[in-house]
Parts: sequence; structure tokens; C-alpha cells
Amino acid sequence: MEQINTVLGPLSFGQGGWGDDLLNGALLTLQLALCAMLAGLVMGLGLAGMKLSRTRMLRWPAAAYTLFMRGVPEFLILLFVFFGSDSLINAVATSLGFQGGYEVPKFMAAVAGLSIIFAAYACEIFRGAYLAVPSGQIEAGQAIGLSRSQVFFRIRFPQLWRFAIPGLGNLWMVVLKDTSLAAVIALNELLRIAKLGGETEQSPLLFFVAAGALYLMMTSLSDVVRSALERRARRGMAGA
Amino acid sequence: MLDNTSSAYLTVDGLHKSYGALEVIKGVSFSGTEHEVISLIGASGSGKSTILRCINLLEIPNRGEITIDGVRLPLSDVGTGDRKVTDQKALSAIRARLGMVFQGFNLWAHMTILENVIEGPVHVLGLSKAEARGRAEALLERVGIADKRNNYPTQLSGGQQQRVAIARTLAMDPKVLLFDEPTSALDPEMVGEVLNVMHDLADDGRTMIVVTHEMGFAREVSNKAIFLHQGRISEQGPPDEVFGNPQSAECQQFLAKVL
Repeated sequence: MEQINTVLGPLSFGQGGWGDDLLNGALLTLQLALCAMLAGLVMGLGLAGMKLSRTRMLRWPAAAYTLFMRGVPEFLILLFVFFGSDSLINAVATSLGFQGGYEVPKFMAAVAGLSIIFAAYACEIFRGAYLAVPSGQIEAGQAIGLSRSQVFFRIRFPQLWRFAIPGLGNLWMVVLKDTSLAAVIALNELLRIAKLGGETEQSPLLFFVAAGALYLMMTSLSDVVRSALERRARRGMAGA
Repeated sequence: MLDNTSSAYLTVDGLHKSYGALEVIKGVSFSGTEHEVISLIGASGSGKSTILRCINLLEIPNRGEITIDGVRLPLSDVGTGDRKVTDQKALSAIRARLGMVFQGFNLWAHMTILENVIEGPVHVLGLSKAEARGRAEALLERVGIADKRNNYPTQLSGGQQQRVAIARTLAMDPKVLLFDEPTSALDPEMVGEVLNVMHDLADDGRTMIVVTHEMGFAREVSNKAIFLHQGRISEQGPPDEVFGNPQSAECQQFLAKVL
């Protein structure tokens, strides 16, 4: 018993323990992932709308964007945003006659970096889901006299989720784990805390195992939420 | 060609439709009076469904005009460029008065049966939900599906789904009912229940255009049969004449195969 206590001691809560720091790190990870996903979903819907547009001037920028974002390592994009956003904003500020020296808050930079990647993947998922709604149901809406926007909001959009949620659930898992890349800008998310704790207490393995367990808890919980959402989106469908 | 008598309720005049280089409708004209039931028959690929889909502009005809109850469908003039719908609002209003029943039922999968039937009345005709629900329940009663009103479409058999689709169409109180092979996707034992409902509608004096492979139904129920062959009308008239004494070789061959 005593041995277990000495081994797990560094993970205890309160004075001298890292337990609460790790939990705070996990909380920040979760906040980061949630913000990135919300922003990414909105951007992804917009991009999907552009890609499905009849106007070429809307279609090709969206195509170029998704091609680029999905074709370059995520880490590279994050580094670019983390370290480029300050200089970009200051360059714009000085060119407009303001004083430079602005600093983008780390959390905001991380959300921005993660969400622009998430958006590119979400765009493809939404586009596929949009096209997966059976065309006969669209025709039935047109035939009854629904306007174009009614067809979209009454028939297409509510059914989009049935096809999008499985893919979005997958993507959420990826984003949740990609938050760990924000450790490079010294944002105190879960993995950075674990690394700090491991180095300080000279037992890195213990801390990495603890961090892994916390990630696993978050992802398993996410999976429960995803299947509940999926069931809801599929209500009334065969086999639901 | 065009029957321009004052009694014409629906006229199709010089209809052409091509997909790329493939011309599937090569100049079709016919007309119908109110309360008339017209059957469009012919082999697969003869263009019957395409004609029906042109009548409510699910397909845009390359040439030709369609008039329903004195209202011409809002299409741009034939000439330069692709033909377009010129007035979306007018199109919606016309479509709301043209009921379409599809081969594949096409019920909205995320809505209950009742929600399917009240969707158009509430969101196109502007009825209150309570009023629409009252009408929908009466219609579902009529097609024999009232007890399924809170189920979802996939929980119903094909025949039941098609009867719901008919109720959904009737809820709009359409002037003309368009049926696009309404029994072709059904298991044989369910064809009868749908044909019975359609038979009742014809007896009520509904104006109907029916694309069908059910020759018995076409002969018994319709006032006019139109036989299509390779995108043209090759024979039309009272069903007893078309079925009993077909003049063209292709119609004789077709009937010999299907009867």
C-alpha cells in the first residue's frame, strides 16, 4: 500500500500533487476542442455551401482551401497560425497607422489554428451529407410547391445530420487529440502539464500514462454522446 | 394538332426534351378536360415519365408550352441559351396545384406520416397547424392509414407509403393529379390497395394523368389513353379503341407483349 502511495504520490490532489493540474489541463483541452469544433462547424457549413454553389467564383476558392488544408501537415498549419498570427496582425495594424505590439492570446491562436483545419474536413463531410439526402425527397418538396429555401431548411438540412454525424464524430476525436499540438506555444493543455509534471517529478512514464487515461476517458465519453446524437438523427429510420 | 376547344383544361403543345444530344421527347401535344383521367402508356424509355415531369417543371422542356387552367407555365422563350423558369413564385403556386405521386413514394424520412401530410398545407398554403391536421387526419382515414399517423415512413409497407403519398398530395387540394408509375415499385400484393385508392379518386371526378404499366387500370378507369413510342404519340383515343383496336404496328406489338 505504501509502495503504491509513493508511486502514485505525484498524481495526488492538493499541495505538492499534480492531480488538479492534470485535471485543469484536461479541462483546457476540452474547452479548446469544443471552441475549435463550433467555429469549424460554422466555417465548414459555409465552405460546403460554397463548394456546392453554381457560381464558379465561390466554388474554386473553397476547393483550393480544402485541398491546401488537407494536403499540408496539421502541425505545420498550427505553427504557421501560432507564430504567424502575431506578425500578421501587427503588420496590418502598423500599415493602418496603429501602433504594433499586439499579441494574440494563446488560446485564441490555438482555436483559430485548429478550427481552420477542422473546417476543411467538416466541409467535405457536409458536402457528402448534402448530396446523400435522396433526390426523390427533394423533388417531392419541389413538387408540392416548397420554395428553394424551404426545401433546404425543411427537408435537406434536418436530414443532413443523419449522414454527417458519423463523420463529424470521427473528426471530433481527431481534434480532441490534436489539441495536444498546442503544447508548442506553451498553452497549458493536458499533454503539456503531463510533460511538465513528468520532468519535475522525474517519472515521465507515470504522467504520460495518466494523461493517456484522461484522453481515453474524454474520447470514450465523446463516443457515447456521438451514438446518442446518431440515434436521435436516425429516429424513424429502419434499423434505428 | 392542338385541341383548342374552350373545354381544354390542360394543354401540352409541341413538347420537346433532350438530354445532351439525346432527344427523348420529340414533339408531343395533347390536351385534357376537367375531370378527365388520361393514361400514358408505352414501353420503358418511350418518354412517358419525362412528359409528366415536364408538366410540373421537374424537367424543363427545351421547346413547347404547357397550360393548366388558363395559366401558362412560366418558361423563358425558346431562343438563345438554356430555357429557364422565369418566375419562381408563380412556379411554386402552380406546383402547389399540381399533385405529383412518385414511383418511389418519396416521403420525407425525418417526418412522421402526419407531418408529411401537413407539410405542404402549413408551409405552402399557409394553413394553421390545427386546420391542416384536421384535414390530414380525414385524408389518412380515407386512404386507410389513420392508425399509422405517428409512425415514420420506413415503418410502413410500400403500399402504405404510397397511400400516404397520395394523401400528402390530396392535402394540397390539387387541380390535377400526376401519377408517375405509382405501383411499379410495389410488391404485387400491394398493387391493388393503391389502385383502389386511385380508382376512388377517378370516381370523385379528379383530373388525373397517370403513367402506368397497369393496363387493366388504364383501360377501365381512364377516359383517354395515349400510347407513346420513341418520344412521340403514336396513338391516342378512348381506351377501348386504343386497347381494343390499335392501329399502329408498334402499339399492337406493345399490347401483345403486355396483355
